[in-house]
Amino acid sequence: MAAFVDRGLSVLKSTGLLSLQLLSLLLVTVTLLFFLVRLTGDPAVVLSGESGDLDALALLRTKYGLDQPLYVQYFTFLANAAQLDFGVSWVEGRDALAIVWQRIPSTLFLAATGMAMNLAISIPLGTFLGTQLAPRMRKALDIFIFVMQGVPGYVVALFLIQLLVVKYHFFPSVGNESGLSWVLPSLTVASFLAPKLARVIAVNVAEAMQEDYVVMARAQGARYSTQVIRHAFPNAILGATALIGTQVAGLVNGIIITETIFSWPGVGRLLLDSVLLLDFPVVQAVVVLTTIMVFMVNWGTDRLMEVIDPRLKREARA
Amino acid sequence: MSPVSAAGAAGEAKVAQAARRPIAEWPWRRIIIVVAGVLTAILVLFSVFGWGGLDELASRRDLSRRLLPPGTEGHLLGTDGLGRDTLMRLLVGTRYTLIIAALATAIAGSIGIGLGLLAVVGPAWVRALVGRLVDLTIAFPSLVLAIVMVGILGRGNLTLAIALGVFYWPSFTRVTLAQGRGVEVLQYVSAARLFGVSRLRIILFHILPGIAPTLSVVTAFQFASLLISTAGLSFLGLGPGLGVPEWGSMLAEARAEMTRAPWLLIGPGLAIAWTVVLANLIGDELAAGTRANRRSADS
Amino acid sequence: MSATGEATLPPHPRPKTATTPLLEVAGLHVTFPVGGRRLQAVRDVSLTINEGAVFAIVGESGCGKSSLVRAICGMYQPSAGSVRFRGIDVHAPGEHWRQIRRGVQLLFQEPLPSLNPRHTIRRIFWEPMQANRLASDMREVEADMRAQLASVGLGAEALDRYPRDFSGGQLQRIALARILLLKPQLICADEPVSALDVSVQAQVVHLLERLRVEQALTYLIISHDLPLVSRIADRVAVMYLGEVVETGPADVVSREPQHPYTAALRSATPVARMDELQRKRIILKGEPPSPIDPPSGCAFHTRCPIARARCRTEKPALQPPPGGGHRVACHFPGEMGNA
Repeated sequence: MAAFVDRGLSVLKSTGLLSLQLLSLLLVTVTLLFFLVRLTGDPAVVLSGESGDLDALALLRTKYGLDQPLYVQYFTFLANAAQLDFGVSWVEGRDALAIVWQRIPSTLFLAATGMAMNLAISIPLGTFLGTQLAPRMRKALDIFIFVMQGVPGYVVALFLIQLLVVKYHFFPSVGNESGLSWVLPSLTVASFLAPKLARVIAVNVAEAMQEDYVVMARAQGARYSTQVIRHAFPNAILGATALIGTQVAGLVNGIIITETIFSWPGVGRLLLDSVLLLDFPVVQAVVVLTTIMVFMVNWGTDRLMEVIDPRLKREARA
Repeated sequence: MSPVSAAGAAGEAKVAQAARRPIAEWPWRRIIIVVAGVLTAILVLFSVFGWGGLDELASRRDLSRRLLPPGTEGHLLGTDGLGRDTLMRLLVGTRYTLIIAALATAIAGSIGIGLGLLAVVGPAWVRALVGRLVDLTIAFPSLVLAIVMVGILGRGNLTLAIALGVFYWPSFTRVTLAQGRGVEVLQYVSAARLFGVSRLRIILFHILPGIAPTLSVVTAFQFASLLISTAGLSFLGLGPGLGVPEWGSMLAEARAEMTRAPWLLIGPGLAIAWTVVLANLIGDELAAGTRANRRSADS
Repeated sequence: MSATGEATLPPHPRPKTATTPLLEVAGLHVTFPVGGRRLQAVRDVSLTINEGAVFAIVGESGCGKSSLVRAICGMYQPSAGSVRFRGIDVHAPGEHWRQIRRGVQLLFQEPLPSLNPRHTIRRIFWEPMQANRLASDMREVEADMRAQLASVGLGAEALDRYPRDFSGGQLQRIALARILLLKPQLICADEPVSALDVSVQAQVVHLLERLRVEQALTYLIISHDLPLVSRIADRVAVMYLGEVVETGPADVVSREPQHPYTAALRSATPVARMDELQRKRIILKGEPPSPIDPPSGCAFHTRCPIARARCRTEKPALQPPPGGGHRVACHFPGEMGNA
């Protein structure tokens, strides 16, 4: 019973700490945003566009509270942000949050397929590279992967499009209407991550092959495939969990560029469009929502990693 | 840090480190890297000072020779939609892509190393504060905020470098803190403090030299990843400006002509890949050197 | 100079006339916070060191002798008590102390880690001189550096070398020369020879003794080796768990230890002469107790072979025994000294 209460308390405590972290993160982000926007000059001028005469400007100022002192504007902004009210899109005239909310599923879909593709490429490739099989091919692949680590995902994407879409018409290049349109964007997201992950897995497998328990299995006559798959691989993948966690946390960076290249109707594409159009309510909504999402994904990944590899928990405490 | 010293400094460190051994004993890998680094540095010099009428060559338009494939009429990498020579534009682009990435690395490095050193020599509360700041910065979706910053503050070399630099410093801080704490507890630092040597001198002459090898490794890798981000942001249209031959912008231009002249992708794509791979190789090599030094110091 | 492995010294004259107190430590406490609790490294230590003397502090590792010396050198701030060097409080902030600060110097136990491996010996010498504003230019003190190197038995060519080019004994000489360049009066040496090979220990001990005479130095030496200390020191203080348990003339304390702990320390050191082998070895049980939570009464009672009920409750004062002699903190002094 006491243990149960203790556990409950610690969960409560860690949840409290977590929300405190998220809140402070959001406060800083929102504050940064607020002053960034004010740095550009008068948002009303931006709002009214080319045609803005003085009366229209004054009207806009009153409408958006831009005639108030800066600190009043700031606290109003904070209060609204706290209720996730970022105002109405200056371009579409709809609630900014709703616009962003609508885009989230396709971004999450791309994140999931991209990560899955990353794992599907890196794990077999890395494991193969960590073995003693086919030395020439390994050497060649090793160099290829090292070079690929230097080739940004957007360059890969452009070459893929050129080859598979423009030349051979294998895939539709843009949007996500057809059944196979997710393949190239996911591949692009994966290409940001796979070279590094494959290299780390390769090193881990090669190291694990030297461990006593694998040597033991070898001595007892286990087949090479058994040594690799049953013995070396599980530990190698354990060693790579930290990197996988980091990659999940950093997914958003690759996704923004990928979405833009493929006109994928996600949050990243929306962010870029609204930044270029100076649609501040939408920009703010995107930033706040991505901050929350990235934070939650980080937290979830950390917990998952701790379950998979309890060593990480000890390291984090130390 | 200027781009010259970005490519050059890594090369210099390499040379200084390798100088202890005769060149004949260098592994072939190292020789290739040094040669490639020096070549790249020379190209950067040409670009920065506009030697050989580079700018004129790069901006010369000839609409009758548009979208030429590589190797035709003296255009090694072909021409773009306005008939400008791709190779010359790439060389001029070095000035933008490499400078912005180097500037961003310098900004990230100054913030990161500065905060790290503060945390190393400062009291516990400073260390805690810096730790919080690192956590906070890492939790930001950095590229999202960089895009917003550039979009709002307006395009330009400096804006881009700042927007990237202010989010990429935490790895410098982590390394400075971890390694610097290791040096700070060494007895020669206690001895210096006991002799009344000032805090600034202890940082400059004892702690910084002690962590410099590891910092150079981080710098090389950070430069590589900042170069990818720099070109990426310009590719998205947030680069230094329209018509500027920044490599990312050139990729974006090439994309528009992709159906007619797919080879235009090759030049900027290769230029980015070459620089990033080179920086990664230098980083790997520096890391190997640091490990070897540590081993020989331990034994 | 012979390196026989045993640090025996020839008889030498000592200036017994000088009796001005150079350093006075009064009621010194040094505590460190350890996870919300206090580790009492030094508890109520008082001692006086006269000019020209060699004072030794002896005890096991962890007894607080290093903390005491570091507090004396101004590295640690005491939680109570005072350290006065030539009458000036070492820990009182102010310009006055800064001016005489270089009068007290610390010689580290291991020379190598105390010298920056990336600096030449010249730079290593120059840094403290510059920090103490002894000269404005390195060239002014070039002759001093050479002379000081010569005084520790090294040639001027050492100036352009790096620490890794020297052996342990040479490095200890270099570390010593670096300190001597500051013209100190008191040198605190933390186990100055224990990190060195036995064959070079004797050389360094001889050197220390010669320099003391030549440059009018006073030594405060930390050691765990009572027999060694009895040969080089005039006075000795034995420390256990942060406290001084016995103090007096070095030869007397070593020959006729009054405290059972001192007796144990003496017998713990390997002996070189056959007649000393006759002496019964006293082996202490267990580890020293934690200084975070020292035992009640006499701190030594948990490990003392002759402890009685009184020792657990009543703390013995550091005072001369009823029959006279040097000061000792034991209820039953001398009971096992010469067993």
